[in-house]
Amino acid sequence: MSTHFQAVGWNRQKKIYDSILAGSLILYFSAFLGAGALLNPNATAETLLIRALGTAAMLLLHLILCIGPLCRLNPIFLPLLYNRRHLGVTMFLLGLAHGIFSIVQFHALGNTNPLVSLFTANQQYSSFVKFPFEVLGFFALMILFLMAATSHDFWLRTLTAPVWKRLHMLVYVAYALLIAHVSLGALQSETSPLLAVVLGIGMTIVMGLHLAAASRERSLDLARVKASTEGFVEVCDFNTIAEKRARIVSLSGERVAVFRYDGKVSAISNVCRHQNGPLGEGRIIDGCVTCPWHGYQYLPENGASPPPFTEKVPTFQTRILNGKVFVHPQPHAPGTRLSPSCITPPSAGRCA
Amino acid sequence: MIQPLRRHHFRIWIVIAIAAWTIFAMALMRRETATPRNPELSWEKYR
Repeated sequence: MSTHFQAVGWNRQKKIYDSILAGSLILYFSAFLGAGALLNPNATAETLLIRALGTAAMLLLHLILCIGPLCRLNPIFLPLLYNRRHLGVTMFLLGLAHGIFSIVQFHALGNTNPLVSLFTANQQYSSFVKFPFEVLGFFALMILFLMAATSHDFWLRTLTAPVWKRLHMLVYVAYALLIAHVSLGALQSETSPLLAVVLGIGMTIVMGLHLAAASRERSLDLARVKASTEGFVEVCDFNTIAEKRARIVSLSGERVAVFRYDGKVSAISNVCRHQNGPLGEGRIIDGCVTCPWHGYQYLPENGASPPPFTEKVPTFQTRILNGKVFVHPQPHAPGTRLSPSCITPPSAGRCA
Repeated sequence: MIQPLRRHHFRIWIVIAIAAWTIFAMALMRRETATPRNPELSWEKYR
């Protein structure tokens, strides 16, 4: 959360995250190149490097795609989400290096321009197993470039969150293209079943996690709330909400986070203005609702970020009757201050 | 995430799961033998 932009806002956590990433990649390359040279002594250094870069990028892409659903299924994985952009940019650079080395190795030795050769060397576009798989990798790399280039809060603010989010959902198209790239490329010439087994396991994990997380979210959206008088709907018992935590409820087709703090409750939209993070899965820190994804903060009474920040989310009227929390499903304009409801006295329903 | 985006995610992953597994399975079933005709020969030696 910041009022201005800088290339990377380094902090201790980011440095640890990136050190682990760099260390893991060095270990992976050492192991891959060492084992590759031992098991396949005829392979040249360029071939091994192309394979090492390609497999590292694919492994990293699988890890990146697992982080989102893992966080929705269990908040213990949230620290991985915090710096996912660094993983994404690293994965793009590995893919780019794989592409450049492959073009130099396989397309730069003839008379044709290497980039033209990439599209024309194999023209069996109507064949399935002999399809020019390099083209699929090229288009996937273009998508990943677009994403890596816009992986910054400047672009998020400039493009607006909905456009930016939809742009970054193109990673799913890139993933499908890369599955086809590997299936019609390396898998066709590989004699060992290891690559097919690893890719199959990776696909099962990624798709299984996404479908499991989506099913869980869907059941939450479809959960019914009890109707009540004067338009308010019953959400839950006051005591079932943990202190400085929230209960998420689906009202009028969108989610609302009902926070409990200091004997009071306030309700705000569950959607963070930064990247649509789930505010109700965060907690109140220093009096502010704190998004679990990137730490954006909002005051529970008015849904506005504390000065000098300017983000605002819609607020909802609350009421407590006989220990039960009620919320009006009609949202108020982002930043509208609403008095929190208070548990004492029960008859009053509002705090003084 | 907002609800329309959640719905899109769900549908996209159903499509990807079907499409990617179909391509992967077909590529495995229809692949030609990868064993070289002369295992002693490595093209990389003759570059």
